[in-house]
Amino acid sequence: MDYASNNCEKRAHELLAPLAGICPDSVWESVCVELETKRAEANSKWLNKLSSSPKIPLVAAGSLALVIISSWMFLTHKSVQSNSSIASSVPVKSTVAPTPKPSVNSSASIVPAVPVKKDSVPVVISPVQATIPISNQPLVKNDRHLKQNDSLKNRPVIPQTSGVKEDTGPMVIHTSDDGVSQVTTVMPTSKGVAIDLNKKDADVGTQNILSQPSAERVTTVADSAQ
Amino acid sequence: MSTRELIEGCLHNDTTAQRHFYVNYSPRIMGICMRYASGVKDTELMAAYVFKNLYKELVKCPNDIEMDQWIDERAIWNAIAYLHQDKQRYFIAKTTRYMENKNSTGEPVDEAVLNTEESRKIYLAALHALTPSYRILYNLTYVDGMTPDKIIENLEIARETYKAELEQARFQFKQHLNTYLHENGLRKQ
Repeated sequence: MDYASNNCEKRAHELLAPLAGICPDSVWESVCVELETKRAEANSKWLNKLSSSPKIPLVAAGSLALVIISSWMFLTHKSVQSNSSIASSVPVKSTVAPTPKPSVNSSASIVPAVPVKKDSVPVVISPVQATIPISNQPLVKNDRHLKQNDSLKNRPVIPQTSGVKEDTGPMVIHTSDDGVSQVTTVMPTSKGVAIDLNKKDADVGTQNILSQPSAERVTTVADSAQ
Repeated sequence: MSTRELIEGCLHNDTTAQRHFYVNYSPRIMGICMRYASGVKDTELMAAYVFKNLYKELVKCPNDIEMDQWIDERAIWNAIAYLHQDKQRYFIAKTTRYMENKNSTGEPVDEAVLNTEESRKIYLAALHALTPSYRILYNLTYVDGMTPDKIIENLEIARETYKAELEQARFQFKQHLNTYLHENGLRKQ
């Protein structure tokens, strides 16, 4: 009988479709190993999830705080840097106004101060000098430079000596009873009268002349003559 | 314990439920694996593979009415997936067995002299002699009774390929059946 010519497929379905077998224990053992592995994985996954669940918000909060702090520090540092850079880039202007040079046209001339040595010899005022009217006004009056520059206000004003004649008169040295020598300048007769300073009356008269006005001075002299 | 309860227990990793599911379905799944595998050792390995995958796929199991049918179908497709894993054996065996079977000859033996169990063994042996790809197509088409569209869709092959390979598988199965019946008839004589 030729099976190729028959409908053997129907017969195959009848015989093989309800085919059943008995599984050996080895199949179940291999399946059990796989299931145990899966169960252990699931348990470990669950335990990991439980253990890691409280850490998640902490880690998130920590990282967030770190980011905020770092960004705040970065921004503040950046702003400080930008301020300092602006300050350095802007050229500093002097708040003090430049002092103007003293004008050359000014009549006041600045003479360097010469150190004055203390003269051990006492100076006796001559009668010529005493006749010079003393007033509180300065000898040289020059307000032009003061108006121009206030900074020169406190400069010492040195009187011009060009108009003063040099004293060429002879010096007279008197020696008093105490042994103290006094030097006086003897002026020419044409210019004044020589007064003996050793006389008390003369001294008083001189002092009066120097301290009192002219009207009183006349009376004082008259009294002393009497 | 109903099938639904068994499946629920398996989904919750209950060992007792898993054991009951295995006891209930192992004969049926073992029969499927015997048809698709090429030997006893291969059948056991395939059955283990099918069960492992079935436990994972039980989440998608439908309602009670279609449950047994769904389990059979998933067992078949997992058995085919097991065969597809061994690419070397799958493709090389296809070529060599075709050349061997081309020259096979033998006188046919009347099946009437054989009882059902003997006939089943002969048919099973003829099926095992097929290459894996032909065995899959022959089993799916003639034994399991699946529609060609479903087979083409699941195996991702062209319709022409399916037709040509099925014809070749059918021819080879008959050749093997003739050979085994002839050998069996000679032994009986």
